[in-house]
Amino acid sequence: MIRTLHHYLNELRFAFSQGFLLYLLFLYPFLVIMVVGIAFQNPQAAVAQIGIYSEDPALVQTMSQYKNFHLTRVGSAQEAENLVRRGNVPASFVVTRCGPYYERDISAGIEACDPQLYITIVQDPSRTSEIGFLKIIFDAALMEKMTISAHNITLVQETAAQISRDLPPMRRNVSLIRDNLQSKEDELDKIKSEIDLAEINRSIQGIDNLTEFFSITINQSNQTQMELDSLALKIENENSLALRDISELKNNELTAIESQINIGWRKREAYEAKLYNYQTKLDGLISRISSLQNVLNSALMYRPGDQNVILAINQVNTIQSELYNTRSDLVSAQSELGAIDFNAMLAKTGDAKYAASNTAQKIQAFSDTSLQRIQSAKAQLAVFSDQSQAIRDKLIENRQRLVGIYDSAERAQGRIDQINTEIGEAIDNSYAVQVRLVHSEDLINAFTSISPEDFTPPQISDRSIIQSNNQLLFNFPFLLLINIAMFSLLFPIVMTSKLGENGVEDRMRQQGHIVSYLVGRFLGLYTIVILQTMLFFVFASLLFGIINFSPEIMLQILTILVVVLPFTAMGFLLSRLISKVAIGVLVTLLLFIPMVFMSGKLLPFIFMDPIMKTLGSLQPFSVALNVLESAFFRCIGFECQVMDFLFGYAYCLLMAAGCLFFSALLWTSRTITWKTRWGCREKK
Amino acid sequence: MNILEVDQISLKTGKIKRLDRCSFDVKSNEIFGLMGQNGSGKSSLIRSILGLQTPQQGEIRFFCQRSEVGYVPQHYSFYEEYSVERNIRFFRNLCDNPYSITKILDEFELSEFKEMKAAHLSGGYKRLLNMAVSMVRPLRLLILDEPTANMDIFMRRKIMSVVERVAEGDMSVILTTHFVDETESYCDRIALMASGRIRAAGTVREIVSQYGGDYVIDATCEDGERLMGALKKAGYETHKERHSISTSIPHAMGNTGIVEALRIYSKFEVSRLNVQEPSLSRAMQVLVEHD
Repeated sequence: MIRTLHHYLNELRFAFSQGFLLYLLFLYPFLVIMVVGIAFQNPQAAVAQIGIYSEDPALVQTMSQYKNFHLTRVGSAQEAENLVRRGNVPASFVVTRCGPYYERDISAGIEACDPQLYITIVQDPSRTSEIGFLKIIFDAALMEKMTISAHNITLVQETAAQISRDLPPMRRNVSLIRDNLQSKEDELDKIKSEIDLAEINRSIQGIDNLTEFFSITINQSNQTQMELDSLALKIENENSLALRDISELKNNELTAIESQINIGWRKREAYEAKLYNYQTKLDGLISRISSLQNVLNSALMYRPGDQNVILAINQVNTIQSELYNTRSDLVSAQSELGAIDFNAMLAKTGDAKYAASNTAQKIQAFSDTSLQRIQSAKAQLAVFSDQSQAIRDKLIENRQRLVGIYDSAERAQGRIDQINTEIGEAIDNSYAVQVRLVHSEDLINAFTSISPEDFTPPQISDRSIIQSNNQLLFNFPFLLLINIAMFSLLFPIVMTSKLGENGVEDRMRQQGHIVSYLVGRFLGLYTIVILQTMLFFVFASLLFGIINFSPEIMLQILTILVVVLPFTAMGFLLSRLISKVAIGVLVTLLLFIPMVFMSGKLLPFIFMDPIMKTLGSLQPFSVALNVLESAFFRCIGFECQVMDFLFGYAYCLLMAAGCLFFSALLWTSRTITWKTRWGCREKK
Repeated sequence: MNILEVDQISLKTGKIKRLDRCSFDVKSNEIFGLMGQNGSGKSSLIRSILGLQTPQQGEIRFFCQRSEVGYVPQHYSFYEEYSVERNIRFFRNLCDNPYSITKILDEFELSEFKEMKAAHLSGGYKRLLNMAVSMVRPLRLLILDEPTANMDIFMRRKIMSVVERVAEGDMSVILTTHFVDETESYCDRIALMASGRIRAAGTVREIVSQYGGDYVIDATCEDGERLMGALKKAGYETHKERHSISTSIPHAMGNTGIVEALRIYSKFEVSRLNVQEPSLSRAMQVLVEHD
């Protein structure tokens, strides 16, 4: 404990021995407050032009009393938006009791203050930084408006009495409406019964059948056309074969026969000539034989009985008779050869060729005729198929129409059922309404009989930030937190770097006593950061009177003390990781700038992506800013913000504890001496 | 009785091997010197012993408590913005059973500067203050990392005399240094380091006898050739460089060998004569070159 105290005091002493700290502690807060204070203390700049459309006249009346803005009243939500679009005002309030703005109200996050009012802040996106300020003003305006409402209770009672008088005629009207609804229900039932869904269904079925029939017909027609094509091809192929057989083959054969006949004819003529020649020679031999006979006869006559001559005469006779026989055969052969009729044969061959040619022509003619008929049939089938297609398309179109009609009819029946159900419920409700009207009448009567003094007005603080035109006040938490975060992150790094440079860190690590060193140093750094923060606070109050020393000041100071903790702890943790000031500055900027941008103050959450909005709202700067703003602005009813404070405080404390834990862990991990044994005893 | 035992310590940072199986021990009431050239691993060894760096291998055994070990870093590790007295007061306040401020100021001869801002002290007194803030309590082991670096000869003597004085009590001292004369004068035992390893350890005499080389007689003689002949005849290893004749006498021959050699020299007209003894610096050179 004593050691911790020494470290703590030493940290303070060491910090104050640094020249730059005097500037950071005293001069810097003074300069910042001076500059920002002068900038925001301009009375001209303090009045904001705001457009407003409100269905609650009392709220507008309340707000018009405030010095911070000048209200431009418009007649509709659209006009309020147009004012912003035209640039006449930076923002407009749209306050409705119900209607399309209901969804948008939730994002504005103000409805919690008065659930019966739905408020939208229409904002020029280029001037979004003012939205937080407007929300704060609106919060306060609503709270103050509640007070006025409480005091205007007499007016409300009078209105209630008027309503009470209007209730009996309303009950009668309800009965009339119920009767009317009953008759409408009957009419709808009748209409429903007239819609014959089964008949439409049957028609659709008939069309389906016809469509199917035409589909089959079209398919068959197409198939037949294909078969005809095949047939035509076949005819063409076979015709050409037949023609070739007849005209080429037969003709060739007959021409060959004809040439053979001509050859035979020429040979016969040659043989005839030769036979005639032989006949002539035989005639010559016969005449010479006859002469020989005469000679021999004469010889016999001279030499009668000469046997040789007689023998010669006999042989010559025999030769003569053989020659006659031969000549006779030759003549016979001549006559047979001459009997062959080559002309007749050629005539027959010619006839055969003519007959073959005739057959080919007939086949060609038949083929042409067949092809013409096939083409004609195909054309007729194509026409038939197109007509069938058109009919089928028409049928399909009609079917779709019928299906549409069927669906419409079905929906109509469903709607009729629904309307009838609703009418039934309305009729049932009408009885309940009548009962409630009676009950309301009783309640209103009871309410109007109570005196206004019996109502307790809402508890609110007499401190109204709205009544002030000090704009520095609205920006003070943000300004303060920027400085806290910046200084808290950077200061521990600077101080630790200096200690590291002069070797004190090494000395401390060697000596151990981690807890006392870390806690002492952290408390010292925390004190200095708090000191600077308090100087901001004091300068701002003394110079520009932003703090009126109300009872809430304790809460504000406590909140500042808590809010400083996590940032100092973060800086302390960073100082364990970073040993050079330049890197520390860089890391601080890298950490600090996104935190500020994601705080919802510079770039409002309502324009952010939902996930980033959640992340942004849970980062330390946002939580700290929220709890600081709560402490500074929303103290009108602390009890309604207890949860905000509890969450903010718990977050800051946990964050600080976590950072300190990790700082200790880092310190320990660097000084682990698990290889070292202390206090060993000498072995004997 | 040992106060510290370092057993097979190895340290790597990244891929660089800083220490390689270093072992030594420090006995009670002795001054132990760690010698080595720059980058040999002296500071890494000291930091590992103190737990400022964690070695990957080995074990360090202290036969005392952590609070009984003092550390004087190489660089000034006090608050330069504070006065001398304030610095001593602060570090004293962090200890149990500290010495009185007056005693510390007197011990380190800082009394006359006690009001002075530490930043305004001379380099030597800053070094003394650096030691003083480490010794504000009774210690059994003091570790000094190059306490006399960048000091002039007078300040070095002053610092070392302070070290010697404080070590007279029941305290051991480990110091790292480049200076051979300091080591020879003040250290009871030493360890020579090179490339992260302890190459030799023992008393200065042991190391010198083992690694310090031979006695060398270096002379200039007109009649060099005859002198060399006479020396070689007597069995001495001799060689000539220009006019200079060097004779090596093995360490084992000791003084007898030197006297014999000088007797031979005395027979010739010698214009210059120098006798070099085996030394720690030569031992260091030999070990570093060997590495």
